[in-house]
Amino acid sequence: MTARALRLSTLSVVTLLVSVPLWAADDGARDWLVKMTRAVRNLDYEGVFVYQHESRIDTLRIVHKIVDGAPHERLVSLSGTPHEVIRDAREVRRYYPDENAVVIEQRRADNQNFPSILPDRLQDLDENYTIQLGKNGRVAGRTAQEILIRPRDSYRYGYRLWSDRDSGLLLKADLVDDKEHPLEQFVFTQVNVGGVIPMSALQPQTATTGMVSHRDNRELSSSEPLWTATKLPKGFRLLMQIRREVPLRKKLVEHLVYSDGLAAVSVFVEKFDAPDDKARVQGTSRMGAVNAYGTQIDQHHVTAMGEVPSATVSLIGSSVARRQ
Amino acid sequence: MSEKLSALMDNELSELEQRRLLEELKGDANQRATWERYHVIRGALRKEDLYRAPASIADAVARAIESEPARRRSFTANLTKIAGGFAIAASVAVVAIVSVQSPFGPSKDTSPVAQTAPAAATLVAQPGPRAPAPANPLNRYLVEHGEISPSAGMGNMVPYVRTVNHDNVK
Repeated sequence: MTARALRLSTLSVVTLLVSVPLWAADDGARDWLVKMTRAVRNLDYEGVFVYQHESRIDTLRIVHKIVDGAPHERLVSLSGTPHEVIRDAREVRRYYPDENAVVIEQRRADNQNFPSILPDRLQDLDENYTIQLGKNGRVAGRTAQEILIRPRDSYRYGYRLWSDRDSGLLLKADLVDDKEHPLEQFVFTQVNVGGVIPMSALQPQTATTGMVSHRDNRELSSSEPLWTATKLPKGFRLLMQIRREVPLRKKLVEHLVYSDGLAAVSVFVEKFDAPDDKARVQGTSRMGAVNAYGTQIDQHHVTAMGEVPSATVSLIGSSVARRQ
Repeated sequence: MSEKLSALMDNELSELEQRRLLEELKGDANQRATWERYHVIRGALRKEDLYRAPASIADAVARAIESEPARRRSFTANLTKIAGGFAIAASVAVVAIVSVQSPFGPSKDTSPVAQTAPAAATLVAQPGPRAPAPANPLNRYLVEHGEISPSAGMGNMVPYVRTVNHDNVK
């Protein structure tokens, strides 16, 4: 890039370089990203999709309906262990018929806490990724536009997205490594967009009588973070921080989220008091597309994780220190 | 000669010996073939190590949980503490880790683990030893990370898919 920039400048098109940022994304591609985000916020759809990672394939059914301006969703596993997730603006309910259990998680009151990648962070995206339109293709019987998002350095992964040409709905998403090999893939195999979805389709199909319900851990009001990552790869910045109490254990966990506009790295800091706690993850580990790094500092466990290369979580995790 | 080759493979020869041996190899097709065979064997051995490792990890985990009621209880208590969903995810941990490592897919040996833990999730919370299984916190974190991750995936359901639809091995 630099070499090319130099050559260009010798051709005295410096003004061009100044007026058009080097990282200018393909405008068409940007428009598609915006369209895709709006689709999730505005569209009703239902369909079946496949999630593939490592050597595993899961099939799931999704119902997505906008109720009073907020997306409500129902997700049902069609393969493997029966499982159902109902989610609205307030809470997430997970049903596990095999275990006769339902788990209820409160959603954050403030929906802003759920960063949508787009479009507000397009600028950030541009600094860290190149965004280009790809080819036209077909996914789930629909014409789809491919959008290629490539990282500008090795601290993040790339994405290949296919967006429905009619509605903008994301039909297929691949997370790819530096060799463009997929780390995980989501793809609709069948989808209906814009049809009428009755409210009943959002009700759990799992028989809930006699289920034991579990409340999720409590979130404490946000206050100033006590910890911070002192080193971040270019483009990453603190997006949010949460402090929660883990029920029964009465332990506080500080959760910091760093993002470059697309990828997110979570940093968890938790005090340890028992020796057996030392059995925690140390160093790097990997779960599918998620890399994690664990370390200890000042009687605290620090765990950094995210859908980013191992080097990124290591860099961030190992730099965590008390905030001055 | 074979011993020398073997020593060469293991990097146990001095520089001088190495050079001498390599000179000899140049002029001796038979010895070169032996040398090659050693490499093939070593490759196979290494591969075997690689394949064997996950299975033995799975065995170890399954055995540990099966054979230690006390530990199972603490696992249970802990699972209940971290509230069901995480418990499920935690049990997956073992399966996930193994399936990641095993080139043949999840080992059968992991199934006791997968089944023991979630079944325990419905038990009433009881005070128990703290001791989370090593993979446990990571999975709890994974769920929490999933909640906030501005994923480019299928709407916002991705985190749930990732952390939840785990046990597909039946």
